[in-house]
Amino acid sequence: MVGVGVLFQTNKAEETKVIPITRENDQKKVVSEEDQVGKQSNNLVITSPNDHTIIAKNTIEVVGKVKANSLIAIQSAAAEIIEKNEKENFTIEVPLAVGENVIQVSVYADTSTPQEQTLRIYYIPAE
Amino acid sequence: MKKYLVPITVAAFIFVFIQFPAYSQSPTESISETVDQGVQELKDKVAEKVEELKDQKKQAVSGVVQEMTDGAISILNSDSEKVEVEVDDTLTSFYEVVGSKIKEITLDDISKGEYIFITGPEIGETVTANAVYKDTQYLVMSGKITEVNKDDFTIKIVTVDKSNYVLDIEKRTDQNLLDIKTLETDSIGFSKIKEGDAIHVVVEGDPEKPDQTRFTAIKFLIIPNEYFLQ
Repeated sequence: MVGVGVLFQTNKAEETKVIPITRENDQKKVVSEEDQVGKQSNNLVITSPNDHTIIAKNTIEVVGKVKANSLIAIQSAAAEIIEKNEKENFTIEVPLAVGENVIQVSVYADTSTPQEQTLRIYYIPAE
Repeated sequence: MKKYLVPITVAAFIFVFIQFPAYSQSPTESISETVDQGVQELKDKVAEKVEELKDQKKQAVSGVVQEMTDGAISILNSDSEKVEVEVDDTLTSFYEVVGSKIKEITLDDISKGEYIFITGPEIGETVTANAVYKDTQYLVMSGKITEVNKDDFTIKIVTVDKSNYVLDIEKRTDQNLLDIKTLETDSIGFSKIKEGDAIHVVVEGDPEKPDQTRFTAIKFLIIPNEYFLQ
């Protein structure tokens, strides 16, 4: 009985030592993602590419999440894309011009006021 | 009762000795697992940081040249933040984007008020330039059309952040309208532009006039207000 009791107490001690660390990390991650989403907009989250990315290809995939049935408009000097997204996730291939590409992603969900994000992507062809 | 005392004592003795090794092994294994988990978490964090640093290395900064001194260029980026760029005549390469080509230039070809972007490692607020590219500054804006002036072929728009702009529409402006039934875009003329519609515009900025509110539209896409009334 004594042995069982000590073993149980030891496991409890481990639980209090290990589990809170994992939960704390998870919570930090969730909070930081929520903050990021909040900063970006409610109906538009772009997961890729990162702003200011340099690329050696003349196209780039813009990947993100919007409210289902949103109208997505992508505008830059080299691209003009408009499509209705029936699902939440989207992947749109955007053509690039050599040099800096200022790409505005606008999403119309429920109103005529869009949620917007601007990306600067640099296309530098490989020599 | 005495006859049971010996077997009970023996049984208790055996019980303690059988349980005790289990008590001493189990925590060791659990502690070992905890340490392994901790090490793995640390490894993951290091790997994540390395990936972050790799991504940072593949990034560029851009802005308008504010000041040029020996070995340094100061730029103002789109967030109105000043960025210091260290350049070296022998180590830094200089280019100009001309259409779809990249032409080699020298530091002397870059001057105050021009728009440039820089590649190279960024430490703090200073970028050590591997390459500097002189480029055209394009701006993309969107908003609502508030006025259409058929006399001088201009339109006025108000953006989401309540800024007002005047856009000159020229023959070379690429003008497109969304067909709300097919969701295809059609090329249109000035007469099809109407107040209340949403518009997405690309213009060429003048780096020396950061506060300008009148631009020549290079291209635009109109989303008719009717789309939102469906």
